[in-house]
Amino acid sequence: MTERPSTTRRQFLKTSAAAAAAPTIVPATAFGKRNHPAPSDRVVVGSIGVGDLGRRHHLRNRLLPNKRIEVAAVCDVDRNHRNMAAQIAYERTGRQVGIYRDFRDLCDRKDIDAVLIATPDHWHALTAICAMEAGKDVYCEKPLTLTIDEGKKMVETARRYGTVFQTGSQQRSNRRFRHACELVRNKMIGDLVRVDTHIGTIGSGDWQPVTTPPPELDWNFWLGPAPYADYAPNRVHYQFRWFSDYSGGKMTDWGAHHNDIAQWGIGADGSGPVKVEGTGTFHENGPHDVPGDFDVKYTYANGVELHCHGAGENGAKFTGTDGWVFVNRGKIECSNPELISDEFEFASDAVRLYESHDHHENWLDCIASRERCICDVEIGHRSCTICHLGNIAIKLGRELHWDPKAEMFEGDEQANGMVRKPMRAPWHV
Amino acid sequence: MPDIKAILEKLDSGDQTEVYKANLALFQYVHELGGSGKEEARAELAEKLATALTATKEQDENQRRRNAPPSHVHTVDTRNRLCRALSLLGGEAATDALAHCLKHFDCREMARWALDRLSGSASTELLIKAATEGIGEEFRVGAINALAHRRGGDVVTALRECSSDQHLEVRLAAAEALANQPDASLDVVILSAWGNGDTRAQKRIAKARIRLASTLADAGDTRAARKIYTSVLNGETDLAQKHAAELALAELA
Repeated sequence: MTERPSTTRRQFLKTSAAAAAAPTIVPATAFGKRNHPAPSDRVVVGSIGVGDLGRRHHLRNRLLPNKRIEVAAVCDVDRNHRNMAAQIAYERTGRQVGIYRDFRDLCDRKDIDAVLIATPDHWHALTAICAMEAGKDVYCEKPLTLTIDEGKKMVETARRYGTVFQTGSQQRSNRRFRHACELVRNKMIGDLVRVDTHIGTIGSGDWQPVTTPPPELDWNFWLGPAPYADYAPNRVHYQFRWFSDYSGGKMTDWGAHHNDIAQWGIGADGSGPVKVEGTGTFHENGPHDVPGDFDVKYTYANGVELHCHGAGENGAKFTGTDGWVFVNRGKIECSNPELISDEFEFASDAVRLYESHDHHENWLDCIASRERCICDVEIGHRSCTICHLGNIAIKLGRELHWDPKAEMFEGDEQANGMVRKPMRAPWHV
Repeated sequence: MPDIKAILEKLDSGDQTEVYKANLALFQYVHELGGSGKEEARAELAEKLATALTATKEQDENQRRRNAPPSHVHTVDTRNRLCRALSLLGGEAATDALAHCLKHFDCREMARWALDRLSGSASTELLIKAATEGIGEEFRVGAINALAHRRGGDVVTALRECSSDQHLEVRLAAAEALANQPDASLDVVILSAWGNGDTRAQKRIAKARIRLASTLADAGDTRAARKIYTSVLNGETDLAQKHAAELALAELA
């Protein structure tokens, strides 16, 4: 792991003569209002990808209400989305924000400290790397990547530019999930033997005739690095998740949550399994070309097995030699109920995990302190790698041996060909 | 082996469901043959797909008289899918067929995409040719981007040539690709690729220099890396690059 940077980006900006010339947003809250952070503590944010998730969840519910944030710009290849986002920002703050179609223009703005990325998955690496190379800190939605190679590049870039990076696998900032992982890490259920994650299945969907893209959508830009495809309404917005050129299906969509928790409980952040094999079903008639249901078995070097399933009760179950603990967003259950009672306390010398109670606040705290976020880029990359390994194993239908250090398959050229996906010109990472 | 002729017919049908089903069947077989011990069957399938990919229709007298280019048997969509399938099979037949496709505007981008995924000298040679002699800026940039993942004298020579191209985007792509090569002398080449570019081009050059220095440091040439980082830190560029240089210098100290 790279050591903490010697100076922070903000310190660097302050000490640089050139910084004096840079335009600065001085928020209205700077002038004597109580209970508002000082302007130097406010993070100026650009929101890239303001469709349903980016606009409703992040912008409206998390960014705009936050007194530590100044939203300065929104960006989307869909004109309606970006205009709606700008309108929401105006209604909330009374200020106009910059409106961009091209994320590179937003990243060129010197007054923007950080970006929140909620584009479709095939754009995550390109936009995040562009932002990091422009000196921005990043919050990027999960699943972090479309391929394993993209994740490697994102980690390299974050370290190179000293980026504070939060992956949007927000279950890490939930007390219940942390408690389950702490029980496991402290062997309260004995030696960990197996983890089962259940992350959901998908339906087949319906074919729609290809048609002319709506005028508000820049379809070629939306496709970006993905191979050209004719437009159909059900390829975009939420539905993109079920097309392998843009995403990895349920495996990455929800795997980036529960497999991330599995990695946390196993203690495999920064690493991964050494063996993977899986089966899955593909819908007979399409159009969705990602696995509909699946069972994937991962084996770690210490013998622990992770079984990732499509069907079953959503959540993660850790099974040890002396008991089990199950956790999802609604509940935590344990073979020994005392371990999850309000009275339970860990011993003073127990292993305690990174504690965060709010994913966005943790990002802001880390932007100020320059510490790593609870779901730093490498954690997000490694958790997403688990999902990609699963999809590759399902496709290939054979046992694969994975070297988590080299991040390559052993003795399988075809599998290694899937670690990276070529991009349509001119895009590249 | 599944009935490849039937699969091709369905792929050509234009019926979305039929195309999907045929594509699924084709790729399931391609994946099945990727394991060890299946080299012979893999080569046989690659041969069949390559033949289909390059197959052209018989010309009539009128077409011959007009010297019209022969039209392909299979649709563009089918040929694009065959390119993708061949990218997972590899072998001589695959690269030969993809070389054929590079000459046809309607599916050359997917051929380039497939060559990008393939490893080996034959695919590298084709990509070098596409990068240096291809028609169209964006197509050449795609080939250069593919070369960015490869090393070797021929690759560096081709990228050097592209870095002085008349087209700015070609020069910048070449500079960015050269940043992955552990060769300190490339710093000058990368710097010169800017030419009379705009501010954004200048930033891309600075970023490429930072990446080159990182490549050199990873390869053990910390002295050369330090020199480039110091140059970036003291030069006229954006603050993000200077900050990256400062971080790297602190780590190398």
